[in-house]
Amino acid sequence: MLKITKYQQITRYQRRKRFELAPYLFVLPAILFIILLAIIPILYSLVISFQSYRLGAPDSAIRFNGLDNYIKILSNPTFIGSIGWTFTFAFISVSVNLVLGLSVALVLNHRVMQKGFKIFRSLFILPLMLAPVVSAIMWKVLFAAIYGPVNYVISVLGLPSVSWIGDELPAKIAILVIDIWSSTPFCVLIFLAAFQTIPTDLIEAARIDGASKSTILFRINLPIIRNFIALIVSIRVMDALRVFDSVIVFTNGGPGNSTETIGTVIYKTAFRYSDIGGGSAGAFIFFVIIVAFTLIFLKLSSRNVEV
Amino acid sequence: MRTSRLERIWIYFLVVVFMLFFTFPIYWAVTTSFKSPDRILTLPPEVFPYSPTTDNYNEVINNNQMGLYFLNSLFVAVSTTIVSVLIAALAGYGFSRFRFRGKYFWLYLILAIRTVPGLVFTLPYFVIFDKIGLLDTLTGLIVVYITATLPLAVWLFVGFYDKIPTDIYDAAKIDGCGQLQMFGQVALPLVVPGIVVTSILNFLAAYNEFGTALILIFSDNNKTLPLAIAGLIQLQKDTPFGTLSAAGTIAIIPAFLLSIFAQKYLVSGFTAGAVKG
Amino acid sequence: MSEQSKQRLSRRKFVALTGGILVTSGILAACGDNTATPATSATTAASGTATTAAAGATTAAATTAAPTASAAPEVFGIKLKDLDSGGTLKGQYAGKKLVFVTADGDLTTAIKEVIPYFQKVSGATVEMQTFPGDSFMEKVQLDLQVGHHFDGMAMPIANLHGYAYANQIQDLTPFTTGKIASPNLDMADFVPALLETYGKYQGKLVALPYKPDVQLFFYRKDIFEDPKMQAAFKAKNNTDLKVPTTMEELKTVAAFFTKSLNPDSPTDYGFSSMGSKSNSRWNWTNRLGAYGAKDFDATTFQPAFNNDGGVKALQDVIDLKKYAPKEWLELQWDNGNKLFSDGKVAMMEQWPGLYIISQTDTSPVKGKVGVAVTPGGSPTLGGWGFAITSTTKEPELAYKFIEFLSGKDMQLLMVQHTIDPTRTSNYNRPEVASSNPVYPVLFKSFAAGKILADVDIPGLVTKLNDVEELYVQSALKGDLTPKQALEKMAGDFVNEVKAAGLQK
Repeated sequence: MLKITKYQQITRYQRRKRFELAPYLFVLPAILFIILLAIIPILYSLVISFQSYRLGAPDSAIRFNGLDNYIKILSNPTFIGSIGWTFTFAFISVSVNLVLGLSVALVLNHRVMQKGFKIFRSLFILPLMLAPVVSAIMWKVLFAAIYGPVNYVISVLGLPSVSWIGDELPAKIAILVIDIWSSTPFCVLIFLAAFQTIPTDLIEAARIDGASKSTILFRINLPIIRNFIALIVSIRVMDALRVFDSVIVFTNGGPGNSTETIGTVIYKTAFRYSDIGGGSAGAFIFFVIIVAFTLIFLKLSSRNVEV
Repeated sequence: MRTSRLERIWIYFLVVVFMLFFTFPIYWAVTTSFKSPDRILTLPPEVFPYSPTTDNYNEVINNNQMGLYFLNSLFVAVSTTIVSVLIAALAGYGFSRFRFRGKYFWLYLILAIRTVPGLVFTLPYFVIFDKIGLLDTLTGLIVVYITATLPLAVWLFVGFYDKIPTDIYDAAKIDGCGQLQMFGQVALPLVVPGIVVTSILNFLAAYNEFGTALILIFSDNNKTLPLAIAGLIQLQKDTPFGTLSAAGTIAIIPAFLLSIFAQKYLVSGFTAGAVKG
Repeated sequence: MSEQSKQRLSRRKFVALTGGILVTSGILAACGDNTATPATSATTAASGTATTAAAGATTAAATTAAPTASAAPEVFGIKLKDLDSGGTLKGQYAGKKLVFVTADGDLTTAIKEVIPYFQKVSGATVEMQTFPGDSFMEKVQLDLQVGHHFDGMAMPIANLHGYAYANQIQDLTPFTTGKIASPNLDMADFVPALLETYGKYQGKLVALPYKPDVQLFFYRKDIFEDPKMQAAFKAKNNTDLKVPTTMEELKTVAAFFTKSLNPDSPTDYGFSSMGSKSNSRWNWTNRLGAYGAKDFDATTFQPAFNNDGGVKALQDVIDLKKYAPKEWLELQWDNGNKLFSDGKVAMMEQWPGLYIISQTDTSPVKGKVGVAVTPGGSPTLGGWGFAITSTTKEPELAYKFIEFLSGKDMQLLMVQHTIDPTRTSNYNRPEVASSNPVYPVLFKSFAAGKILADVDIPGLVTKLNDVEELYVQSALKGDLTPKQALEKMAGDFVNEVKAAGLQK
């Protein structure tokens, strides 16, 4: 009895002494990387966003121009026009990600699929594995005019063929399909891993108590992995808002400017149109929008949890 | 509770539907890699290559330095994965287990990095890496990829460590575990699914990255696979669908093997027994 | 008990996993070594050829170690003679190194074909750095601004002009007129139109023409020469069926060969081209010159299309829609060319590359394709040029390299990699002229070409290309009338030029 108290005292003493430094040692490597390779470059670009920095202009032409870049990008109708579509895109994409990702993960985690079907799990994350340049070309072939398999199936069904890159709505649908295809496997993977953290005895106990499957799913499983769901949502919202590749490759923003996203507009401004200052300004405006959005989201979701 | 026949059929049906959606473009790439150029854009489309050929593979393997690019990509992806998972495992543990000044500031700052559009980094990386001699090196790429993969990895690890009941730590403390032992022998074995899933995601992200590699790499000998594959497409030339698909198919192999190997650990990592404590 | 064993089990699994990672990292270390080895062996190989080449230069040139580099090569039965730039390359650049940049693909392969010969006679080493064609311009531009790693480059003409405007590439005149110039340089031998439009910019010689490119008019020779078609055409239109040279003729012939307008037509569509966003503007620029309009004024950078000529040209393109495939606005390089190669289209405007594509063994139109200058006689000019950077430490060597690449004989070496010659003398060699039925027309089209494929205003090339595309597309879709579209286009031109500080 006495011995134990002494032992506890010692550990408590040691804990207090060591614990002051320990947490910092654990997080230090990560923080170093983030400061050196993320914060410093971001500050560098922040400075550039206040300069008239154009590629192809002589170095002497680079000077501070205050908020000019910000004003210019905010008065660019394409940039403003892209904001609405970018958010619509992100909302649809992430919603489908969640529902589809959860369904696939549940199916894969079903006991029917446990034995002898493990290879299926790997097949489902294939979209993450194919080099994006190749998958982009494949989607272009699949949705191609005249020779595309998608339009072929549509014509076999007796429907008129669809102009996937020429008309606004089909182009938006195609971009959503491509993005959902390539991003859902990420959600599946995290759902699958998250399921592993659910204590099996809890579910067994619930089963013995006669809980139905949907009750187990919605009352036990999902609440237990809610951290992971929040993580999936926030990561996916961030990535979906930055959407770039599937648009550039598939429609390059067309028809007209109707599928331009914030990501494509600022990229084009910075590198295709050589206005690095303007592109950087756009990027920081975008960053502020996302942070504001995320804060609102976090506030709403934490309120939900309390309820 | 046994699975009913109806439920079994329903599950199989769903698997088939999902499979069709997720693997069809891959299927199309793999079959295209066995088609001759004149059989690729056809009406009706060839669902199965009628006269398969291995010409595309011969061309990819014999032409260019695909072998070298392949090794470069593997080197970059594996190095990134190991270092990034290690750093994230440490950081995740630090953030999950301890309370300290600035904890939430750093945690959210790390996440916020992920919201920054990539183009913000392009010019700074180019200028800074040129000054410190990291331009046109695989090390330069690896350092960038580690940073880029950290936010997700750290947050995933925090999620997994948070699930470890505190009584496990307390029990270990009574056994006299030091800080490092606590991390290495108690916490880490309990987050194997986290390690697996983070490894897969980090590996694939680094293995397939294109934009940064395009900016940072100059010489042929340092090129990675995505750069080389994109180089197969020429301006004002027919898109070489066949060779592109062949290169893409070959490039999938290591990623696929890794995921099969890793899946084993994903299924049975977090033991119910350990959680019972 | 069971807990413990489970825990141990999971620990064992963890050990196995770390073991796995360690093993992979072992493999990885091996990978690192492997990557290093071929890299070094590649450089030694390169320097190896350089040394053997140098040795070959001093001893008899009969060494068979590297046959391509030692024996004088033959192309089209022509023995190549000028392998040392008229005696000006005598190994004097031994030990020096050049870095040369261009896009992946044939553009690179052709230069790589010539490099061994240059290394042999100059003693220098040339390293090619190449990037995917889709995105390499951003990279080159970034490096010109802040990196300065390149000595020379092969780039699209409009980009080169932009670099010249920003003083990022050098005036070549001091070299071409100086002592070091090859006696065989013969500037007058470059196709005058190419030298004028590609090479000369604001009173300087900024580039040597590398790859010429011009829009050509392809048509189905077999159906144009078919007596039954000719008779039917005559009966219907009261004129002879011939390859159209004006817009009016083009419309009449196109209508005749469009199935929806003429059920007896052997082809589905009379006319085709690439109508998708990023390609559609050339349909318009191919007609612009015929009405005496231009894309912009070269001295003021102000738009020169917002006039009657511009409107007529755009209206022509809209008229062509009737004869074009219904998927016209979705047609890009691959599906557009495929439709023509499948025999569905009677006439098509396209870059020269279509010819080879339509002549593959499995093509239904093999041997049935004719080539002519585009109707209206003012085709759009593309093209690539060689230039040397302002920051190169070896300007003389860099110049000697691009001069070597532009040599009369060297151009023949590049033809096999689909790089057509840019010198008159090469088009006049009977062996060359007969090697490709496109060449005579190509040569004629260079002289006829007036407008560049990219809007040649420094720093605004891509931006103004996109502006043109946006409004040509909206006119084609019927969202704007040609007049409205051009007014808006002109407005954007003026704004961009002003914002970039180019207004004078």
